[in-house]
Amino acid sequence: MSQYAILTDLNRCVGCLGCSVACKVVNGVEIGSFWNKVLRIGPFPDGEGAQFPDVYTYFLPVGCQHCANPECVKVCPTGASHKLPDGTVQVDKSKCIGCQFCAMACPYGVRYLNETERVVEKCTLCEQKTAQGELPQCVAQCGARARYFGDLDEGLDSFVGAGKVSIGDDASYDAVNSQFCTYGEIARPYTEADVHHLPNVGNDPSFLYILRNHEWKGGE
Amino acid sequence: MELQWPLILFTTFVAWSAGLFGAQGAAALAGEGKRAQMPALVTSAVLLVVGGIAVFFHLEHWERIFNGFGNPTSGITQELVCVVAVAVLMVVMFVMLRKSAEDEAAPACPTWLAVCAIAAAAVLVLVTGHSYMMAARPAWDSVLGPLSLLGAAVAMGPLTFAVIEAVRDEAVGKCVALAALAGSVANAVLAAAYLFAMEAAGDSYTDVGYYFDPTHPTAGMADVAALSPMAGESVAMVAVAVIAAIVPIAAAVLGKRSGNWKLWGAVGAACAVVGAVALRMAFYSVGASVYLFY
Repeated sequence: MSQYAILTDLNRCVGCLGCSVACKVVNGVEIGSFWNKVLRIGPFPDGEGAQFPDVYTYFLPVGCQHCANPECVKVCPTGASHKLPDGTVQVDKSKCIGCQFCAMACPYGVRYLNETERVVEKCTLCEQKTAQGELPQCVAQCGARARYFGDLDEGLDSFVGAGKVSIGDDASYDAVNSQFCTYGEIARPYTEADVHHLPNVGNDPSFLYILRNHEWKGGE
Repeated sequence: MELQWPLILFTTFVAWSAGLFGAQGAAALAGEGKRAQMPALVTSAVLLVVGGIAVFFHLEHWERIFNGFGNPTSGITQELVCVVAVAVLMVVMFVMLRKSAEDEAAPACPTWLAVCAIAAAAVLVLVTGHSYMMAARPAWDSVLGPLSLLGAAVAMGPLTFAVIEAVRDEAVGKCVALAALAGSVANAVLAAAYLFAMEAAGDSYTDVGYYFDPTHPTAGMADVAALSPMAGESVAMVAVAVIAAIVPIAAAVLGKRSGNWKLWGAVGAACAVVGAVALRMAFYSVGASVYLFY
């Protein structure tokens, strides 16, 4: 069994909100709703006793974490919320009764009721695209190449981002959607201590955040 | 989060129904209130139906409810199983009450059925409360949640049974009077304990220091202090919940002393219902996600 996930290199993220906008466009997310949004964390003192201007801010893209042990799936009475063999958590809208217990059980508040369809929805990890060998739109459109998509079982170095690395490669729209670089090629050195998750209350979030040389806020 | 009125009413009416069903089981075991048994059963069934109707208003697609319903780890599935079990017991109780009605000296129902009614009622209330125990919502993630709902049931049930007995011109026996008093005390203690547990949950929320959500640029940062049941709009709910949990104790005492259960039983039961609703309102008012920033 695989566990698809997105790795975000927070040292690279510039907080452009491109991932959030790209997601809304490709998935038709209604105005006022988000499958992925970028929070600005900070400014905070960049080290013990630091004073302005020694402060730091990082940008944190947040969405469904496609947890290994998802509470939303456990509480769903109809099996509408379910985990696929690829590790992603999906909602079968035809089964959803709109009880919203999954939204209550999500520690991150990323599920919401679609008022038009009257069912709960959230990030699908662009299942419609990844099934065809493409990248999730938030990864494909990341201008800072901070987001990478892959299978946790294959290791973080195998995670892929949009387009090839070298300047001489084709940088056309089509090319960046079909030719990928790997995180192993592009990543600056990091340690295990630099790899973070959103707070885990038993759900084991799959998404990873890498933040080097600065303090991760919010616990694990 | 927003007050979920269908769920507030569902949990309250289920607790009331189960409390009354359990109280009639206890009365049957004690050999009290035979004439009140059938009206109590009808009232209990009606309360269960009202709760069931209320919860349907929460479901956006109730027509799909049997479309693959049955994930056993889901609290909703577990609640449905318990509701069906209690409903079956109610039907059995109805048959037994009809049978025993012909013989004045016969017990209202068999002992095994009375015990089953009490046990099933307790399990239904605890399972209903347990559905809301979620690690994602620190204020809810306490065993005092289901226990406080059980407290409401053991206050509302015996007090309502006492009123029905009084209306049926039957003397309220020792067992029902004691159950009304003990249930009311348990309700007040458990409601207060749950409020303290909700207050203590304030340390469990994720803290990232300063942050900003560019998609809601005019919104302030999440205020954990406002999630205290003793702050903001929750204060009024908590005040009502506490007062309405204490009044039934006095009502049970006055009912026992004066024997006027028609008045004091009704006052106590009404206050217990109001208290249960107010506590559920506070429950939703403070029920935020552990990660507050999305």
